[in-house]
Amino acid sequence: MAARQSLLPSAALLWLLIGFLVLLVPQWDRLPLWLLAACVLLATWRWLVQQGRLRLPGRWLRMAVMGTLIAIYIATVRAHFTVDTASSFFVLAVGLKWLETRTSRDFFVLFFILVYLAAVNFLFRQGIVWALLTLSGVVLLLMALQSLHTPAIVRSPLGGSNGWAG
Amino acid sequence: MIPYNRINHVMARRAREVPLHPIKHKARQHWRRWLNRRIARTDSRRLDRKTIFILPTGAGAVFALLLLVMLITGINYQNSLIYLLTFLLGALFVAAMHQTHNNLSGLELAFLKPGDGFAGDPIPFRVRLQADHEAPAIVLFSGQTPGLTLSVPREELTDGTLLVTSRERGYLLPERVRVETRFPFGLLKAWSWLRPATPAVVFPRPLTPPHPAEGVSAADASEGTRPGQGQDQVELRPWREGDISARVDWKRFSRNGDMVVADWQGEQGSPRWLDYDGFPGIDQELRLSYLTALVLERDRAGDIFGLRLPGAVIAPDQGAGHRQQCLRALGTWGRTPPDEEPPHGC
Repeated sequence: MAARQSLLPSAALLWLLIGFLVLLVPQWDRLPLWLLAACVLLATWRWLVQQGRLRLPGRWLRMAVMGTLIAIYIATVRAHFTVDTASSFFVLAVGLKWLETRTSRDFFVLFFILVYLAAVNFLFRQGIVWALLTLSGVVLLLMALQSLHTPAIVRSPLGGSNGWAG
Repeated sequence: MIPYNRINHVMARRAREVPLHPIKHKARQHWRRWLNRRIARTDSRRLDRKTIFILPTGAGAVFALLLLVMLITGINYQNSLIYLLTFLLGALFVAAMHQTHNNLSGLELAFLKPGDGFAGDPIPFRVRLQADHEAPAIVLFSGQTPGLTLSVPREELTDGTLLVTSRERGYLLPERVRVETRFPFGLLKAWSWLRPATPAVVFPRPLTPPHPAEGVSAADASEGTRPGQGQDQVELRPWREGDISARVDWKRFSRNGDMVVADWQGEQGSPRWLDYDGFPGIDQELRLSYLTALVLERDRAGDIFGLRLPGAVIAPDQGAGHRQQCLRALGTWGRTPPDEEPPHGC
């Protein structure tokens, strides 16, 4: 299963990754440094998988990564539950989801979480520049979704080499 | 009379629907009938408002749920920017609805001449799409996944081949072909159906007979030798104008310059004839499969052969056109072409 190559189009994934990074920016001063680093690392991992240089982790590795990060999270939060910690848990969830983005279904899940992350951003930053940044992040997410649903436009106009899709 | 393949079709459908609740079954039948009335059998159609259906996909439903959650978040924290984002995305959903619908609307689809093939193989149906606007990501399904995805540039013809699985010989006509699009975001799907009118012909699956046909054995034993001087069934006569050049005995011509033609007038059970009656006591479909294999074999060998079926005789000839004619005769023998409106619910 881990050996299977990704089916998602690179363009869609790239837009989603950029959208993710843009949406992380408004949170940079509140998130613990290790979490930001982990998110960037996990997103980079996914991108290298798309490039064919790495593989998506198998079940055990994925479990290990997830367990470690959640353990660190719990250790740092120490039962102080606030909106702040909830949103950082949210960011952690997005970061971990990158490691199992295989099908368009996973892609949709990521899209939905990221849209909600944008809404969460508005809880902390309401300056006009921050608002514009978050909205442009949402636009990037929508672009990603659109490129997922638009096949590489018309490879051969007549006679269609893509005709034998069966 | 209901064509044999149609009966099978109906029976297969019934078998699939057995677990359905009677009311559901009835509703589905009504739905089908209504649909068939609305969408006539035709080989080319322009999709318009009356025949395009649109609903949110599963992802679209989740998106609606997400908007609701965002709205509640906005209300809870009294955050106007969250309201803004929620309403913007809501507006986007409505706009996407129009875009998805417009992607199909005005699309012209035409079924070109359907292909043919052997039973069990996928049979190609050529389709041609055209639109007065750009129409990306159009997917055609004919019952089984995956479908054929085409992107139609503005004012340009786009061809594709839709493969329809065949189960048995005869005429093959997909009951409905679904045209679907989820462009641009996959949150909504718009679809319509096409009901092509021109059936494809499915040839019988070739099966090499375990023993040669009766009355052919003697000749088949010496397969490969040209129809020679020594064979009784073949009469040799001088060449006349109009004789097929392939029938001239060229060996003799090269020896002594006589243009001699092998003539087979009224020869019963000749090796050149593939005869339905050559396999007595064997199941009808099996016989046709045997004959199909023999037709292919003869054609590959470049022989001249004729085909004799009850009620249909194809004169001896050779070449691709002849082979096609024989295969079509074998495929459609005893079958009536599907009529305009198939019988409903019978």
